[in-house]
Amino acid sequence: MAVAPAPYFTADFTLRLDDLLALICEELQISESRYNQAEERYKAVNRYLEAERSPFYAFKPAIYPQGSMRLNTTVKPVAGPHDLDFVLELGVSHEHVDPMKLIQSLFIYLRDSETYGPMTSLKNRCARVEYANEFYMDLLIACKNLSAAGTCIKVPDRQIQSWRDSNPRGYARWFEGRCALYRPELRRAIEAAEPIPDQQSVAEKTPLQLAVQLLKRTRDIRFKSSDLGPISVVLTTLAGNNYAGQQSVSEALREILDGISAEIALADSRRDRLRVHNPSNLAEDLSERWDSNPKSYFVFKEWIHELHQQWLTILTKKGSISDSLEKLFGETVKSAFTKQARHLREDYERGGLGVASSGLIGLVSPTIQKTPEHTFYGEEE
Amino acid sequence: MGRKNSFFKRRILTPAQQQYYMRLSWPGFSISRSAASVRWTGQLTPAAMCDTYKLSVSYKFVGRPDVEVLAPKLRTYPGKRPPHMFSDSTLCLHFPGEWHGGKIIAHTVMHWAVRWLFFYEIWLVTGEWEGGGHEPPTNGTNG
Repeated sequence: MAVAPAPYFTADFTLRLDDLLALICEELQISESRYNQAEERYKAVNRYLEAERSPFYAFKPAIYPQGSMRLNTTVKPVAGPHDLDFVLELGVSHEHVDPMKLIQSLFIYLRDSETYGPMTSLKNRCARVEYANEFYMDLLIACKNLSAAGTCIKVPDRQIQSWRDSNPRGYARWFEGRCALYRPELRRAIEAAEPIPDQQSVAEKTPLQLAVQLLKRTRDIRFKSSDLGPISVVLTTLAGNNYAGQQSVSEALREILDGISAEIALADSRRDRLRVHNPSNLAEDLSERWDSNPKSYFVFKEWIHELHQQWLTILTKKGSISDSLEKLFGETVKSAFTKQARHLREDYERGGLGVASSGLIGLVSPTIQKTPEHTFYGEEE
Repeated sequence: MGRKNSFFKRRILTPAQQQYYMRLSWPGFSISRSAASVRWTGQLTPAAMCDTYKLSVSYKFVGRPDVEVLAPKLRTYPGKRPPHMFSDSTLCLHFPGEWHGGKIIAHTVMHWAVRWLFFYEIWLVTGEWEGGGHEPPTNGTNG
């Protein structure tokens, strides 16, 4: 039985907007070659940490990506190279391990290397290795937390001079589950608590991942390099919690912004601030920075309100929205329009496009006649 | 001058024939006739997220049809007028040889006008014409 081809992006506002948004995200995310390069780099660091002379040799160190590289939601910073997070997990319990000594050992061992030494600096929770013009590798060292379930770990935190709870693998599993909501057949598997299929390639993206990238990007445009913007894990968690399985990324973003606004209103009515807990460790408040910096919470609320209104306006506008999109997502919008136009031109050149009687460009069909070849020209004699 | 006579004479479609196809493919366009020419006007939207344009297509059964955008007023990208237009504000949609009186306006010129409008809107955003085509030669020689 013949299946009707999917409608062309020109047919419908949502289709065209979703196509543009996907192209914007394509521009923003880490390229496949950069991703592979990052993979090679962290595997090389792992080998150095596994070497016999390494202080971690006996503890079966394993490095894996976390955060945006793991979730596939990377967004090029407005300035500077990508910031990629990795966990160096030791196969040993955190009990009887001094967290401050642990992170110091990591820093010293890297700094003593001819290769990594000049590139390494110590941060609050990680050792940063700067690959100039490529990316920054933020390496968190962790021990297993055997008193908690499954994949929970403990990470040294220099600010509190102690361990901090974390569960990046658990978080990634949760996020993948939320992403999978857009496919009903996967939804059944999730409800039945069955294992979810493997992580997809860098090229395939789910609506939730795209929505998270767009939120991060518009946050970066709005707040630039200031500290006032909400941190990525808070945005990602809010998006994941409020996503309801929409197939369309523009609709997903609407749903997410509706949901965050409702959560804020509820918190306001209780005279409390919004609290964003780690879904893989509910005792952890990912949004605790809003306590030490109340201004950033106020600014966050203002920003969400503004963004929500702007998004609703875009979804209901007639005619061109390129200016509104550029205000939200920056110059990269221009390249998205260019790419879309080039795809259209390629489809024309393949003979696949024509025009309906309304003037709407579309796929050749019984009601849409193919457009004959021609060449735009200029002033004649 | 001599070159022109070497082409065999093409069949030119009659006004009734052109109108027949226009009515079939473009029912939203209305026709107005005069002694030696015909003019179709109507509205179209090239794609979702595009503006709706009012077009006029005039044809004197000699030469090529003239396509003009009546509304909205065509805009400029900072410092530039839209490319692929004649100085009389009609759209330049094809090479001289790509259209002749034996071709059906509804299946050719109309399609090309839609394409022009789509790429014109892209040009407004990016400043670049993505629809392909050629700029005419700059010094008096025929292209």
